[in-house]
Amino acid sequence: MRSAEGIDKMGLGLYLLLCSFAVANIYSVDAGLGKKQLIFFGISLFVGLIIFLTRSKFFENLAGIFYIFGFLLLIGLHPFGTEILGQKNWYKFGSFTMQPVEFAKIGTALMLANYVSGPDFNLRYRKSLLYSLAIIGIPAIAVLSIPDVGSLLVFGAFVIALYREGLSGWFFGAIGIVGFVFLFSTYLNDPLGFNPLYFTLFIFFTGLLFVLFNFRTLRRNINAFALTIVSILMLCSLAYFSPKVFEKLPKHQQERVEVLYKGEKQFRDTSGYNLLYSKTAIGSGGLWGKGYKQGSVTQGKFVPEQETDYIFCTVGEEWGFMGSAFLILAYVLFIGRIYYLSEQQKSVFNRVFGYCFASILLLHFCINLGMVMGLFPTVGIPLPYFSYGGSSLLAFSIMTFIFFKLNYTDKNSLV
Amino acid sequence: MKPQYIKIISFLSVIALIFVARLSYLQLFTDRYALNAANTSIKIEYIIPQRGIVFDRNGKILAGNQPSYEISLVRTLLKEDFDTIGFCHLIGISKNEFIQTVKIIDRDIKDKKYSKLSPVTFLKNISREDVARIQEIIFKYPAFSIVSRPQRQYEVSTSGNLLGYTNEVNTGEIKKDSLYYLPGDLIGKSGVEKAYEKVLRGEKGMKYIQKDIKLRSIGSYKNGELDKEVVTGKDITLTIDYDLQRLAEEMLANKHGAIVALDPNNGEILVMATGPDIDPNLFTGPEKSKNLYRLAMDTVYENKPTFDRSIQAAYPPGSTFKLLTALAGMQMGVMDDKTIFPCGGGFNYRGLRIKGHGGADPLVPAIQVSSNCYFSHAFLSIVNKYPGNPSKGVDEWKAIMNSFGVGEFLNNDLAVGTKGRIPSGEFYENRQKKMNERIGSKKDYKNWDPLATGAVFNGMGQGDVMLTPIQMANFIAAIANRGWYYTPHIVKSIDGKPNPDPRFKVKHKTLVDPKYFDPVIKGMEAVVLRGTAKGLKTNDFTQLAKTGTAQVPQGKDNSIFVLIAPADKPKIVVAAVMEHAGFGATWAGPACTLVAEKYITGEVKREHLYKKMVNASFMPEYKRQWIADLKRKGLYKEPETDSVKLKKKMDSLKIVNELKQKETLKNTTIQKQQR
Repeated sequence: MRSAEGIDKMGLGLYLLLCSFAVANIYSVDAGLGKKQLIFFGISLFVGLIIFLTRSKFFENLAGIFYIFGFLLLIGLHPFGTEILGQKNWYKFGSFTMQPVEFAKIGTALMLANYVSGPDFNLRYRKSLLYSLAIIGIPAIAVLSIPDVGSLLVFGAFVIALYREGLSGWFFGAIGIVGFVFLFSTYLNDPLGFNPLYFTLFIFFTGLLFVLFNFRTLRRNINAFALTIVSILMLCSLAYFSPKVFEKLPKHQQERVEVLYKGEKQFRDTSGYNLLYSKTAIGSGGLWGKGYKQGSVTQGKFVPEQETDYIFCTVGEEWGFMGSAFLILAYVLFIGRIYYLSEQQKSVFNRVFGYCFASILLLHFCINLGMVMGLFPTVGIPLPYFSYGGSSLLAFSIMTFIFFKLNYTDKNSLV
Repeated sequence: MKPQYIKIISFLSVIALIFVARLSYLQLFTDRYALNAANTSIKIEYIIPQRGIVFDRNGKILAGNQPSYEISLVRTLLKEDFDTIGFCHLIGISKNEFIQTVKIIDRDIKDKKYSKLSPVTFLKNISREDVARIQEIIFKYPAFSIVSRPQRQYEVSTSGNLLGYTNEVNTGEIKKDSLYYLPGDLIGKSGVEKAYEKVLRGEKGMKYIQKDIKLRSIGSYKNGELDKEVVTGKDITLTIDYDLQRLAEEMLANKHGAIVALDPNNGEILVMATGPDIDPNLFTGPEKSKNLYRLAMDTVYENKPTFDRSIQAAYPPGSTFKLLTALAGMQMGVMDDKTIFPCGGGFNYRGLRIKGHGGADPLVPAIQVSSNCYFSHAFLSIVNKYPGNPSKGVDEWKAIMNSFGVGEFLNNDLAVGTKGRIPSGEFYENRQKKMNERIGSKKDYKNWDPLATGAVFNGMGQGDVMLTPIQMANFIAAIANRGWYYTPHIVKSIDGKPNPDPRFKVKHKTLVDPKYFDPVIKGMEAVVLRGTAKGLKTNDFTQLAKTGTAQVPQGKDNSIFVLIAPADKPKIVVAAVMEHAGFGATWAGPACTLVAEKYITGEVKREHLYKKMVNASFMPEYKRQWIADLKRKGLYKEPETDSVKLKKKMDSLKIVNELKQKETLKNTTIQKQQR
């Protein structure tokens, strides 16, 4: 079959594997939801078939339409959205619910890819940088206004794609430093009981030493000099005010961070509960797991939201270390495969879209598993393909098949 | 390859490694979470088995079971919107009591005594009628449930020490058998309940139940693979004849002492009575722990009711021990039944004088009159069997004594016991050594002096020999059998099958040749026919006996008696000790002969003896000794006489006496008129 050449067999195989394993696990938590998920899986495959039948230029040409459509869906949440679990980020049609963020991500990815593949794009020009950041920022602000912190984090995926296209790595370095100073200053203040002033002074004098040692180079570049001074002062104020800002955050958000280093016992009845029981479910799985539909924590429904964000608990408990490690391996192979294929694309549009897609998966994977295993604060975002939810599975499948289609065309094109 | 691509892929790999490492920590290197899962999602429901019933040898129930109901609370299920008033009304307590109890439970949960997820006793001892009423409505209050816990019910009101009691296990007991016991379980703490705990308790049933987050059960775990069926405790039939036991206990009223009766043919303990006795009903009911504390603390007049004198108290056996001295002497070849020692008006030996009866007679009359002189000489010849080496003689004697089960643990099925004491040659060597050191003598301590060390008194059961009442009964059984005994034991059968314990099927042979028993038995016969116990003779059955009157430092002599009946084919042996009662034949004797009478003839015919025994009280003597002891220690304080109270008492006594006199006057006049 000649037409089948160019379809990435490894990618498709991993996709099918992940989806069917997911259905099995959701079925174990709740048979009814498992059946529903199976139906959505069928629908997703059907939509995937349709995507394969379209022309590949279709997505490139209509990227703007998708983008605007996704943005309108997000804005529309304010008048028409339904609140589920404290977040007004759902549309409800009868018994069917959907999360527009999932689709807005596709639009944004297509739009970004479209812009970056344009002839006048160069990240060295400030205009290109601002335009591309605006493409990401507009829907991101809409998401922030809902507010949906988890999905906002996922928008960082597009920055990773830009990084591939030449954005300075300092961008991530700066975010990392700010995050570290914020958390470390808070940590010093609360459990350790240090006055944040000490840490502020420490940063200040370290900065001063840095300036003194590099005085000769800095003197020649007044811009860099000013930037350094401003950054040091900003870091100082960040270090000083972080604990106060942290205390101003809503109580449940504070606890979600604190639970990571203070232990779940202290927050047993609030934020710690989910974490304790997700760890309990995973930890009780042992090497080989308790067996399919035999997990006592899963069957006892001790972990709230287990079929959606906490679905990995079921894998951990019923399939044990072997099953969970296998699942992690499958994800890493799948995400790595998409990065690899993206890197192979001849068209820039395909490559940028692939990077966006792979990075979205990567962030979902990191944040979700990190949260479930107690390495990352509780942030409600689903595990791609795995968490129960029709719109989530459909959106990820659409992205998957768009990428497979682009890849297919790319492999069969002669250019 | 773009460097960014490589960096991103490296980042992905590092994340994967971190996740797998975390996963392996959670799943492979810590069992914290596995334990938490087991604790909260799987509940083990225990089914407490009924404890085995304890029967006496005639099938009378001594200890049975009764259900005891309580209401338990699962704390997490008690929510803010709980209908407190309705619930208080249902179970009949006030709102205040409810709040108090919940507070106490909350405190205990805080102290980690229980988990807030597991049921905790909320209200104990609910009557059967209330249970029926509450059961219908309690489903409205899912935090509460009715639990039934079997509790002992005693059908008798005596023999508390023998039967023993159950109570909640302590940490030490849990440690010993941590696979079975859990906090809150009951365990036998004394008596038969303790000795036969494993038989009586049965095996708890276990049901693994999966719970969901609201603690509702959602079916069995792993299809009940791990569940265990409950095994009811086995019933036990004691060797005790409760009617006989009761008789013995009645005769021990207001006395300190013990009566033990054995069947010499098989070692079964027929009676094991101790005074003061405990009413086992104190071991049940809401006042249980208070009662246990009171019993343990009752030391006034040396009462100590929890001290089972029949098996734990070692007494000097007094003259009853002369029987063993005679047997040992003959076996060791230092005397025979015709040996006559230089006696007459007491024991005179190197300046030592012991008062006593009898003259220069052979063995049988010496036993008959309980000649102190004769048996002191007999023991001296045992000590002097190997001239210059008294220890060798004494050790030979000790071996013979031990073969009668005295001076050693009996190794039987009783929860407690003591060795008593039969001194060895080394014992006297050490004593002589110490004496030598005190007076600075250089004499060879190995060739110790039987007079100076006090060993000579052993022959008549004073000095250093100490026996428990059950050991006395046992050596008498060995004499009755002419040289063998079965280990005394208290359980006849378990669940209708004979006690399988092999220890009780071994015939222990004594080191004394059967032929030497005849003169001793003849002597015992003479004791009853014309000797020290002739007042206890009866025409209904024949008896062999020996009296004992042991001097004790605290005060009046201990009264001791041993008895075999009937003489030709022994069916029962009895030994009795009554502390500070006086002469052996006066107090311990009647008790023994009445127990034998009841066992052999089925009834007590000598009412006068029975009345005398039941009515006698030695409490004044115990009180006198106790006060004397306190005075010696400087702890005694005269009770303050309350003059008003005293006057009131005197007045009422006076009135009573006057009334009595009037009554007797009236009676006599009526009688006169009738005549």
